[in-house]
Amino acid sequence: MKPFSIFGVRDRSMEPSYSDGDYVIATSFGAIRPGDVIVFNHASLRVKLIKRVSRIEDKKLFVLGDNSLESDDSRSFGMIDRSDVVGKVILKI
Amino acid sequence: MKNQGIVRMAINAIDKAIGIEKVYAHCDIPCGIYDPHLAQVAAHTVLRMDMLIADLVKANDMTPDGRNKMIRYTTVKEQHAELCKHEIRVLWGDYFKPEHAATNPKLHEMVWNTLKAASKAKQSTNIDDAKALLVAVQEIAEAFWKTKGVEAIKAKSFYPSGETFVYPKVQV
Repeated sequence: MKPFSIFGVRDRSMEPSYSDGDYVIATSFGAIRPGDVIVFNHASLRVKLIKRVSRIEDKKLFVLGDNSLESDDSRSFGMIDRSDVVGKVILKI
Repeated sequence: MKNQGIVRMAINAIDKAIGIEKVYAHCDIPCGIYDPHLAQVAAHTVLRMDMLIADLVKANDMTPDGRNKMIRYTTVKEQHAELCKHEIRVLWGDYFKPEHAATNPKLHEMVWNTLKAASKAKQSTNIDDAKALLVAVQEIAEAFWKTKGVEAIKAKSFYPSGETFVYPKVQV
C-alpha cells in the first residue's frame, strides 16, 4: 500500500464535499475514524469508491455517500472490510 | 485561490498525459430504488391473461373480435413475462450482492428457476405455469425484503387473478 496516492473523483454521490472532476490525495497512514472520507476497493465491483465512514464495528466499516439520494453505499452493499481501505482522504484539489 | 487553480490545471494536464486512477462516488447510476413489486405485478398479469385466454377458448369465440382479443391477451402475456424477467434480472444484477447470496445460498438457483418459469409461461397458456411463475417471483420478493431486514407478509392481492401478493410490513 502506497503512503500517498492521488485519485480523480467521478460521479456525484459525495457532493457537495467532492464533485465529479475533483482530485483527492489519500494516505494509508493514521487511524480511520467515523467522519473520515476514505477510498476503498469494492470487493465485487472491482472499482475504487470514495465514501464517508459512518461507523466502525470491529474490522468492518459502514460507509455512506454525502449525497444520500444518489449514493449506493453500505445501505445496499453492506459493511466493508477494513482491509479493503486504500487510504484516508487528506486533501482535495 | 489562483494558486489552487494553477495546481488543478497542472494535475489535469498530468491526468490527461498519464491517467490518474479514478475513484467512483457511486457504482452504477445508481438510484438505489429496488423493489420486487413490479415483478409480482407482471406475474399477476401473465396469470390474468391466461385466465382470459381460457375464458375465450371456452366461449369458442372465433369472430374477428374474438380473434382480436386472443391476439391482445397473448401479446400482453408475452410482454409481461418479459417485463417480469427484466425486473428479476435487475434485482439479481444490480441489487443482490455477494453477501446476500452468502446468507441465502439458494438465491442464484431461485433467480434461475424464476427466469425459466417466465419462459415457460410465455410458451404456454397453461394457468398452472403462470401460477408457478408467481410462486417463484414471490420467493424472490420474500428473499429481497429479508435482506432489508423488513418482515414480508403474503396477503390477498385485490387483483382479479385472485392470488396473493408479498408486501413489506411497513411500520407507520
